[in-house]
Amino acid sequence: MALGHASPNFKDLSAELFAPVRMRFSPTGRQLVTASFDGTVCVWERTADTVTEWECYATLEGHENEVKDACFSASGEYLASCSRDKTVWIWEHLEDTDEYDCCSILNDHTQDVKCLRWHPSLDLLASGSYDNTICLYRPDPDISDWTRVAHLTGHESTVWSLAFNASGSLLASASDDKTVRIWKFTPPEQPSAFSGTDGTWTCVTTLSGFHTRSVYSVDWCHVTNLLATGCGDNHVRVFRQTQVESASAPSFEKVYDDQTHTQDVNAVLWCAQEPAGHNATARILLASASDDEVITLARFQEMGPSNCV
Amino acid sequence: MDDVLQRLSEGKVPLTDAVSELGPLLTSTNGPLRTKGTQALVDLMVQTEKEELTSAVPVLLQFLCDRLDDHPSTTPCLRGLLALVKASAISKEQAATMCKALFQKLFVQAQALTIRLLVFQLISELLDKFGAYLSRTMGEEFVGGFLQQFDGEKDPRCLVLVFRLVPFVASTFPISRYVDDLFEASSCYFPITFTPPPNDPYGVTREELISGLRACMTATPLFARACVELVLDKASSTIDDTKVDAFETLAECATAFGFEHMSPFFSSIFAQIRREIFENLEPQVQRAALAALSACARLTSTREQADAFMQPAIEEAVHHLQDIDANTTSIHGKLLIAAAGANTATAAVVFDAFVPRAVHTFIESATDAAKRTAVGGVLAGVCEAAAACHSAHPSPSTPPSTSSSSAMDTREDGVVQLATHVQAAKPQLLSFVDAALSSSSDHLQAVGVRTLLSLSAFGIFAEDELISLLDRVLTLSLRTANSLTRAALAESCSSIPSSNQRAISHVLTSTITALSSASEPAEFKEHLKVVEAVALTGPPPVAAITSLLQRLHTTSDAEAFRQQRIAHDTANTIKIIFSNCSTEATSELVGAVLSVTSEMIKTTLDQESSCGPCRLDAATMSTLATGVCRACANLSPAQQRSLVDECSRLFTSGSPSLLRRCCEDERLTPLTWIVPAICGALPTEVTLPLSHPLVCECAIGARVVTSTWEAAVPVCSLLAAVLNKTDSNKDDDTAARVQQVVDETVAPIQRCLSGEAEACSIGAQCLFAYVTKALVMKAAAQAGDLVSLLFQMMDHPALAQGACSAVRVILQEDDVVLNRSAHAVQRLMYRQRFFQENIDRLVQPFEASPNPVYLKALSFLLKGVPLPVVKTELPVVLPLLLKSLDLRDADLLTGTLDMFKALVSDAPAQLAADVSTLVTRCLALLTHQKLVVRRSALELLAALVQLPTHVVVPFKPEVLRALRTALDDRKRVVRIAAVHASTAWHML
Amino acid sequence: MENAAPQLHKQAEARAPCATDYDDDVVDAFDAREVFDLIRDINDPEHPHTLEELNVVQMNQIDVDDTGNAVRVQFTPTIPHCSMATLIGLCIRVRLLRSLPRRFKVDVEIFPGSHVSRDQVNKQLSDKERVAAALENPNLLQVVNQCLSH
Repeated sequence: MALGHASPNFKDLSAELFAPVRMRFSPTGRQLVTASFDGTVCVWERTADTVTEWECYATLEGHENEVKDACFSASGEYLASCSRDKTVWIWEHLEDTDEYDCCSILNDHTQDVKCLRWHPSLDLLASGSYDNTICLYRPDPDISDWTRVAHLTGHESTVWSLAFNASGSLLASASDDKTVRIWKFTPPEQPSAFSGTDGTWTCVTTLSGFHTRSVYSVDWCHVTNLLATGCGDNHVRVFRQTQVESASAPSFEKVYDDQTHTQDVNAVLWCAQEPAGHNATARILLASASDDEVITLARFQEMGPSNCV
Repeated sequence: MDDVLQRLSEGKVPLTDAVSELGPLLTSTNGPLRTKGTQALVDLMVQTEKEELTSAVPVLLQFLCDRLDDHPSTTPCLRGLLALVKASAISKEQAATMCKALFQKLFVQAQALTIRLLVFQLISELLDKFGAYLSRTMGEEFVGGFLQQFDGEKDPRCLVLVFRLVPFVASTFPISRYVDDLFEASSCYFPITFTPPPNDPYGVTREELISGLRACMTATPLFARACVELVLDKASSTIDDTKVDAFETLAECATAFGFEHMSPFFSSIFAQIRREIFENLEPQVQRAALAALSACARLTSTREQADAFMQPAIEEAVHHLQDIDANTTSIHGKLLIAAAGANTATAAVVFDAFVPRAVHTFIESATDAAKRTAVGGVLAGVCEAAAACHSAHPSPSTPPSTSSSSAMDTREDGVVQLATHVQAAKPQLLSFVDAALSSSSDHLQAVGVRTLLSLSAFGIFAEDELISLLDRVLTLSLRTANSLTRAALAESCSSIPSSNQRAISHVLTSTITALSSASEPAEFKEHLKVVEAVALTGPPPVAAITSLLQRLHTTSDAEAFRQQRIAHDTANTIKIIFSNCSTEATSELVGAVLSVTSEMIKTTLDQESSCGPCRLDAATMSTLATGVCRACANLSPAQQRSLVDECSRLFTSGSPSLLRRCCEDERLTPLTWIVPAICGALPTEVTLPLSHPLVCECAIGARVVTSTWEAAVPVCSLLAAVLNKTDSNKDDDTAARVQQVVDETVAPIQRCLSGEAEACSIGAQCLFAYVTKALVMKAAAQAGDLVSLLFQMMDHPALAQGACSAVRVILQEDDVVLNRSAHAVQRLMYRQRFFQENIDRLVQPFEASPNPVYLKALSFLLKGVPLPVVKTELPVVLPLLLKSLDLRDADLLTGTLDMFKALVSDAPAQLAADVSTLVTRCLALLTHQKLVVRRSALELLAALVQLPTHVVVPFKPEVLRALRTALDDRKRVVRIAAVHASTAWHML
Repeated sequence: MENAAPQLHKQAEARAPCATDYDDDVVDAFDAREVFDLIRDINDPEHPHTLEELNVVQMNQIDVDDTGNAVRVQFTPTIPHCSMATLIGLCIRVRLLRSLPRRFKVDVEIFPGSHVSRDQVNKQLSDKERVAAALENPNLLQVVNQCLSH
């Protein structure tokens, strides 16, 4: 596959350090978006049924320097990207074309924006930053632009990663302060057109004492509701929510702790498929990527790990 | 016409006829033909004898001068004129004519480079031979002409010549009319920024131009004003190189122009220097600025001059003593230290006007550690600098023992008596020393030590007073953990005047006593440094050496490794002291070494157990032996003889002899080093005969050694040294003796080769190696046979190792006796010869049967000769070297890797072709079991980055990946090498 | 230049040799001295001196846990408002990145109380993305390499 980014030092970099360059699939799985050191975002499309043939059909330029994260919204209509230049850009897919148009530039963070995550069903975007805070945004038809609806403070250092649960009522954030915080959504008392997005987010649980170094990644399995973290202490951990979602303060227990990696774990990601038939069980895999240049896949059953690939 | 040229070149035409014969050519309207004719004439001139040339001069001179402005003929004409001057064929009047023609006919700066070069060579020759006359007769005319010739010159080769001429012209010719022009025309090159191009064939260096130009600018005091102004202006440049050049030139100005011309600029010079010291951090600039300050300070000779010069520096320094920022104090201190070290007059000013106040500040600021450190550092620096200056320019009379204010200032002849001023500040200085020594800071204590010792140089202490002061220093430096004070003591104890005998020996005795309580090798070594320094200060410390030797003997029961280091350091110190000994002392000292050794042998022999008290290893003893041997080589033959007799008496006594018993006892073999040390350095004429009992015992002793190769080396060395110096052509008897020694050496080897004996003792093999070396070194007749035998040994399993070691011994420089300083007979470049004669004897058999022994011997062979020699054989050797990297033998691998490392810088082109193999092999060796191999592989990897970048850069990812494991090696020494390699490859 | 005339300090002696240095069977653990030796000769970006001479790095401000795979280096800028603190920290970090096995978690921090923006600098130095981005900048990389070369 042809590489669309102008990143001549990519190889040198691998010898020197491992700075993650993010990529994410679209909801359909046919598109892939990559964020690069050269300040560009590339959108790729699968050109054949094999997974190896991809073609870069759009290069989005605008960020001043390296792009840290980029991802598709649940509807596939929007694409968001964030950068060390402190901004979050929202790109809108122009129907029936291969083009994306920038529809908003959000300047709410005061430092590098490290990560993004879309709500699993709504046009609600969360961003985490070096400024220790999290922002949430939605489109505002009144001004034909996007607007910030929440600013979550509480972390004592960089927010490295974000993840929503399946319903979007909980948001997990992983931070350099060695904790993971769980934020709970409360809809506004006055119902409105934006009741789904404009409520308040409060930190209801802080997972502390589990991680001994910066937590780089968090992912929430939408089938099993398991929460996985990747940490700078080389561990991959999985937490299970012990109380139902409606409880005001959900609590978590650690159900898995693995140290097969020998260096920082930069990313964890669930791959879960609903049971195919009545008797079948869900196929759940947890992938983790690390500075040790190894990607590990672990197979999970509903309640816990079964084996590791 | 060709005919004429032909006859000319054969020398058949006399010079006087040549001009007429060449007439048609010389007057041709065709430019190239004229050139040809003139060239032919000049060629002939060069070949002509001086007498004949002189007679033809009037004609030739006229002709050549006339033709100077004929463009095609200019070059040959100048060559001709140059030939005339060089052959001293012209008179001074003719020289003047030549100059005038040169100046009138040629506008030099419009000419090509070759012509310009010739002109300046010509002027240079003329000035060399007729300078005085030209100055008298031509005077200003010459100066003007010369000025016009070089004004605007750009080529560095011409400038080198011009820069030699200008100072001469400026100092011998009447230049008053042209002072400004002459200075302007030369100083416009300042500062020199020239850097020679790569592969420059002319070898003009920047330094050469800089010093040439400096000589021009300082050629005459008439330049003083313009020069100092220019240089000061350039000193304020923003480029550090320019600053350095400016300050260095300024220092030269001071020396060249003198007080009278420099003093008007003192205040602006001081301001400029001060600015640099405060603002510029480049050490080079700082050094140059301070050197310029010293040079100016050196110009002051009377107290008034010194006072005036120092006033701004002193004022500021005193003022800033009160500053909160201690750094300011240190910086001002630098200026004072530079001035105090320059001249006794300026030093006296510092002692009078600054020292008392600084001491006061020091005492007052007891709670401000930073301030104390700064002020203390300045005071110690001032005292040290002044002491050095004092020792370099000792006062003609001894200083007064009591201070009297009337003697304070200057003597009648105006010479400042520095010691008097130091004496006056003594009470303050002593209170400073006292406070510093009693402070709790290691740093301040060291400052106190340095100050006290440098003060002793002025002779202001009575001996008893000095000793009691030194006692405090000794207590601090010897009995505390403060290694800074020990370093200060070692560095400064040479300040104690040698007249203070008692004080010096007091320090020495105390330090040696302290050695016994030093348990850590590092501390022990620090004490040894003091011993070394003191021992070199005073007369030969026989007692000290004896007690050091005793210490070697009565080793305490510390851990063996520490003990070994302590012993080795001690041996090194003794070696250094030996190297600075007078001959009388040497005799006595060597005698002491011998008697201690004998005692050690006796005690060990009395001990029944196999691991006796003697822990001296071979390395320690051979170090000691080197020192003894070097010292012995300087003794008179008679002195040496008596030591040899004593040594011989000791070792040949008993039956079996003591030497043989030592050789049989593993504990004692290191001690046999004393034998070659004392007896191996005799000059050729007086060397021991081969029949001497001691020499015979050595041969016997060698054969009975069965433990290790090293154990046999001392006795083998002596036999080899004697054999090497024995002239077998002297008489039949001697020849027979030599042959006998050779036969006896060869016999056990041959028995083994022929299968008669299964093995051959390691001692016998070692003896063979040394005997062969002794003969190869002087290219003796028997050498060839022995070397052939050596290569036969390579194929024999029991002898191959010995053969390899023999190659090593033959090529390695012998530290103790088989070298020039021990009077060994050594043919020039015997190693190269050995290499060239025998390289094929290793390469060919290896190609036939790849026995690794050949590779090992090859690595010794290569290590023994200079790299350029190796380079010539590289095409043959390189494949073998690469093959060596496939073997597992650690010695061979390290040897080969080190060889490659050396070749990287010497033969990059040849190695570049094999870089892929080298990298792969090195990376594979990173997991070798032996750390020395891993380390050498990493060192080679680090060196490989010197190869052209495009050659190595493709391997960067692979190498860096492999280095990650090496960075986590279990051995630290390997990790350190891995870090160097990693840094080097990352920087690619 | 902010601190024109820094106080200089004596350099430590070379590490004392030890009996087992060349013993293949003995494992040499990483210790503070070894890490100190890695960083002591880094050149200061402003002064023609090493970090050791300027007392920016000191042996007793280095913690090494070989079995726990952790290294912590604290450094002391020459003055509390030194604008070079981040660059110095970056140089230390890069030297350690290139010289220590990857199993080590390395923390490079400013010694408490020695700098006005200590927390900010520490946070920057611990952000591996920022460190990587800094080294992507050719000019900065050149400055760092200069400080790291002898």
